[in-house]
Amino acid sequence: MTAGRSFTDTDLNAYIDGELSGTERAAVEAWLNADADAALRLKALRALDQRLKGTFEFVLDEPASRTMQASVLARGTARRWPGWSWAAVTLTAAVLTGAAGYAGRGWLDARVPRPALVETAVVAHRLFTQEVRHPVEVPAADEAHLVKWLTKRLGTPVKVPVLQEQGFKLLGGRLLPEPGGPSAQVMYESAQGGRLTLYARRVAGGAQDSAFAFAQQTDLATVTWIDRPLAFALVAKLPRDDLQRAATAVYEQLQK
Amino acid sequence: MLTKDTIASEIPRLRRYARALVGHEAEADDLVQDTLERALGRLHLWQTAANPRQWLLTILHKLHLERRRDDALRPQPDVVDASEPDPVNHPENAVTKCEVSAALQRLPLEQRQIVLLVSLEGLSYAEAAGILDVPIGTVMSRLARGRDKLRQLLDHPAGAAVTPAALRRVK
Repeated sequence: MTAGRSFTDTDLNAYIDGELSGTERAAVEAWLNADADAALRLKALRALDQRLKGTFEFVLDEPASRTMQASVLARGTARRWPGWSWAAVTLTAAVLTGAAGYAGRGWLDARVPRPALVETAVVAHRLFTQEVRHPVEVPAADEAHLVKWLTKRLGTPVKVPVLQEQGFKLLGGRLLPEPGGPSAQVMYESAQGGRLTLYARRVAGGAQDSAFAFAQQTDLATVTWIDRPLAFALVAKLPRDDLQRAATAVYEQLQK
Repeated sequence: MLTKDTIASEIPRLRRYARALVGHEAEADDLVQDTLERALGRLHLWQTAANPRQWLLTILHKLHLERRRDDALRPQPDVVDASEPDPVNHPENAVTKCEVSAALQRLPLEQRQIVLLVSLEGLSYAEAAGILDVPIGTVMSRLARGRDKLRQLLDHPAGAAVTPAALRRVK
């Protein structure tokens, strides 16, 4: 920049963005000292940047960021994500079959975690929580019947826990087909419309009782555990701590 | 080597950028999801020359343009109010945030992109030019025009906001 050149707002922008060399900076500063109007425009530009940054700062701390991070880290590079779209529903059949195949290879008596349990419960959660009109087969109004029915079909006493304290009220439940025998899904809903499902199925004879295992499947958090003769998966779009509290409540009520 | 960890660490900023660009939370997050999906599927295509942030933002912009094109082809888009209050947990700031967000949506996209890349993300002109695939001179002129227009929109919201900016829902 030469002494004789005239300056424009492009120079002001380049100045606040740190795009100028030392001599260019000095030239702009000299101009700013001489031109009060330009100095005001510079101030306005800086204020605008501050306002933009301030406006969107809160997004950085939103829990959704952590959820997405967890799912990126949890994910294998080759596999596509389930969920987020209708594609998930068309995938459902394939995933259910895949999960069943996995179960068929005997995860139940293996010492391993339970990917198939998480997967099946999450797929069932996604499939049925989207339903507005038919989320459940047997509504909460028929709770006594629901309990009797699920108990009969699972072949073991089934209880339906109360999650009122966690802010969820019972919507009802349904039976799901599984190669190892029927399994059950009970659904709850919060006042804000958030849905939580508890999935249960029988485990094979060799399975041991287990502690809570936490897993994140994109936006959904899951807690799974085995309390013979049933394996459970609790699924919801909730922060880990909240879901764990809900799981503890379920576990305690089922002990009684 | 670009890893999943690097990509994960960029997520908060990507979400912030997408929110400012698109103005609508669900749409913005959807765009970020698609960006991550594409990036993870193409990790092998990442070139060491590009820094991860630049690479992800380049993908995000491409996808955003694709969506807008698809949207434009759709005959009768649903129109929703763009000024929906943003964060429930920051009620005291909700009004300011809405103003800024609505003003941004009224900037032409080419100006909005540059203003956000430079002002919000703090990228250099060269980086912004690389992401948007335009010459640096174009970055400079769009930036000056965009900031100027944005300032005017915020200074005189009444005169400017005769018709509230409307967003088209992607889904």
